[in-house]
Amino acid sequence: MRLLRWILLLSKRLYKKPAFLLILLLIPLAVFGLGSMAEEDHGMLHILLVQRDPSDPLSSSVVARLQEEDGLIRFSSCPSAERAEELVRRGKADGAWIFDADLSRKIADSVSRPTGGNAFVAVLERESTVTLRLARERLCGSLFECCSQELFLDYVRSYSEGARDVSDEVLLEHYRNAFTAVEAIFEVSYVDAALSAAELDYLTAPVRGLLSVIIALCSLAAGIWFLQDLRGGLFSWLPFRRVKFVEFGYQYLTVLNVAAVCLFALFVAGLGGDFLREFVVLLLYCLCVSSFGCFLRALFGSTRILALALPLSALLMIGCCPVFFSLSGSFSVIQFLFPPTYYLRGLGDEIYLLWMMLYTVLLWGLSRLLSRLRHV
Amino acid sequence: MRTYFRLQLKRVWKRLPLLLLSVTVLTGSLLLLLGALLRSDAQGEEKTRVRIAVVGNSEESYMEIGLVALESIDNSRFALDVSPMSEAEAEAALKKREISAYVIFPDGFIQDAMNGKVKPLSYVTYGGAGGLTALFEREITEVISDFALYSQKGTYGSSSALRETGYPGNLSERMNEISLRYVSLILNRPDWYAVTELGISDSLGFASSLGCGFAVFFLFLMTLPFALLFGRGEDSLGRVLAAKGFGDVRRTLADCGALLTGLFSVVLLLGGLVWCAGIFFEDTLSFLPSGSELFLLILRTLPVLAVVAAFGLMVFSSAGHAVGGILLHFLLSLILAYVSGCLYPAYALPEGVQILAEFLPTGIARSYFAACITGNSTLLSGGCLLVYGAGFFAVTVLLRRARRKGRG
Repeated sequence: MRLLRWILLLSKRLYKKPAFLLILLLIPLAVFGLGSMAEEDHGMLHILLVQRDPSDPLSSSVVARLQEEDGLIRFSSCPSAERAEELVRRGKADGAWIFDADLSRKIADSVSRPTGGNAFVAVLERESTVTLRLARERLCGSLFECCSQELFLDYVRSYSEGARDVSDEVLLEHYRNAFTAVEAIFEVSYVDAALSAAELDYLTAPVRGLLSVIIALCSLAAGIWFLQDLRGGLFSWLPFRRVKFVEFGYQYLTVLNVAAVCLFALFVAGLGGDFLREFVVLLLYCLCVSSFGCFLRALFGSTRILALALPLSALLMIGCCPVFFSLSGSFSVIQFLFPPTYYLRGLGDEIYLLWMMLYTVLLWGLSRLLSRLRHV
Repeated sequence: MRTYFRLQLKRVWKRLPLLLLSVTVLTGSLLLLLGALLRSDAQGEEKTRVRIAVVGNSEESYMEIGLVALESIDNSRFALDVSPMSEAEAEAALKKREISAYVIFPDGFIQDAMNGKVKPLSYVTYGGAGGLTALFEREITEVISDFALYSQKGTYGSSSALRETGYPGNLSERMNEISLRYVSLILNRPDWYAVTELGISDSLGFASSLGCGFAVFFLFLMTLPFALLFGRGEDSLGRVLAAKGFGDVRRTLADCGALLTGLFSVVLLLGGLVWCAGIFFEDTLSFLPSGSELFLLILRTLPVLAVVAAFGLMVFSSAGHAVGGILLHFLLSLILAYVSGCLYPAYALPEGVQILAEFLPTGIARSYFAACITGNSTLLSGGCLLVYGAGFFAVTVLLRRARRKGRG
């Protein structure tokens, strides 16, 4: 009953802050907006596909297949090479792939006489970047089946006289029947939890990470609010040893409110995974960021420095934790200084949850030690 | 009102060293983030290899040839580094992120394949947090999978076709030969296309457009340290000033002017630091503009700074508290930057969002910076920015008036 009264009173203080309410409102709106945005056609690169002869069956099938694919590259067809060039020049597209007419024959010529200079696709690009080179690999991947078949036909016919009288279709039966047991040579499995479709989208992939950063920031903000209340004499009637627990409760309650909204937003936007797992990991994360907030509060001890630390730690967390990119090499150790790393990795791998608990206890202990030292 | 403006200006300049320090750390953090984002694009230049472990018997000739071929894919610059390991070693290495994935070859894989019973290879990777790097690796894996699948189809299919059509020679030799032809086909794939680079002419390249976006995001975040000065809900001061005949419009104008001056001072000081760095490290930082160009560029940021100041003041006034203001400002700036293509190149967004971005203050500011760099006319975007600034200013006045009257 006493605990409930504390929760109610502290919550009342939180909900009196218009900024806090606005944040609680903005989070689901933003996540939902991003979720809807990701449903639209988009890609890291925009490539225009042009057929010099729209009736050519091979180029038509390659173009259709590429347009159906989801991934980092957005493909759209363009009626003419001139129009494509204009769009690329104006920066409306990053590149254009112009497929030659009579593509099958040109591929066959190129495969049987691999002397170079037999290009059958004209690639127009604004500038040479790695992402565009990656895109070219997608082009090769989409043409490789046909090239592979032409090589197969050329090779079999060059050695077997009997094969020269056999039609392409009959010979290709042998090609198609090899490796029929598998759709793809690699059966992908994951050493941890697999990514959901929404998390595979680059627009929504960083959302979870950004939310975890916002939760951590709210913990810092709660630290400042607590400090202001403490200095305002709100807890002066409490014995010192209890104040630390009230501080933790203050922080935990704040981040719990934000975390609940984040969880709701994740599921509404279709980014959530197994609810129970998400729920448990988030509860642990709230403990972790509360400890983090307590530690920074004890370390800096000034509302001004803590307020300045807010935007800085936000950017450091976004830059170092695996929100947009994973740091690799010797710098990757820095990410373990911040709570979002444990949460983001812990969702897929339980070992990080153990590390997160250890980190929580360590920071809590350090914050107590620092508080005691300051108090003395 | 001049006295109030002078007072606010004094407060800003008094705290300028602390503000400059925090903005410098902010710049460092942002550069770290930008570096991480651009690193993915520059990975190719450093030829970072995707490390993959092989578990099981991969030493059978055809698969070995395939792996060698894949390993030497250097044109993609996302080359593979294949190393044999036991399954336990590979799993441990994967968990430590020392490798990107490992491939398990089932026992008797090749023998089964020769008999037409093909088991797929297990490609084990991590599915959790990896950000965009993981997505890039996934794209590459799909292409490699296609290369491997269709070359193996051709290799084993040729054996069957040659046998069926009465080829009298050694099938094993033929399979070896066609495997090598497939390796050659994979390696020579750049011959399939002819690349023409059109250039970026009057628009920006990947790094520059991302740089412009980050500059806008940075300027928006630069207001955050000022929340300590302007984010306090000083309603009593507003009431006193109103009683003395200084309304909310004049007060807000003075605050906005002081904030703008503070922001401009910080930008000027940062510009000065950059200029000094350019002089001392002339060889390394040769890409930096000259002193006069830099000063001109700083002057040109003024319309953006005006919007940033008005926006910051509006958010701080709505939050009514410095900490809440910082949180709200950060969240709003992040959302605006995300939707306006400041964190991703604008073309990576859906078309509808790209159009929306053109009308958002962050999107307009990004276009303005791009126009400044490419030398295109900045009149339209500069004008739009000032209109936005006026709009934010008006909202701030209304918010302050409502708060003063509500509590008055």
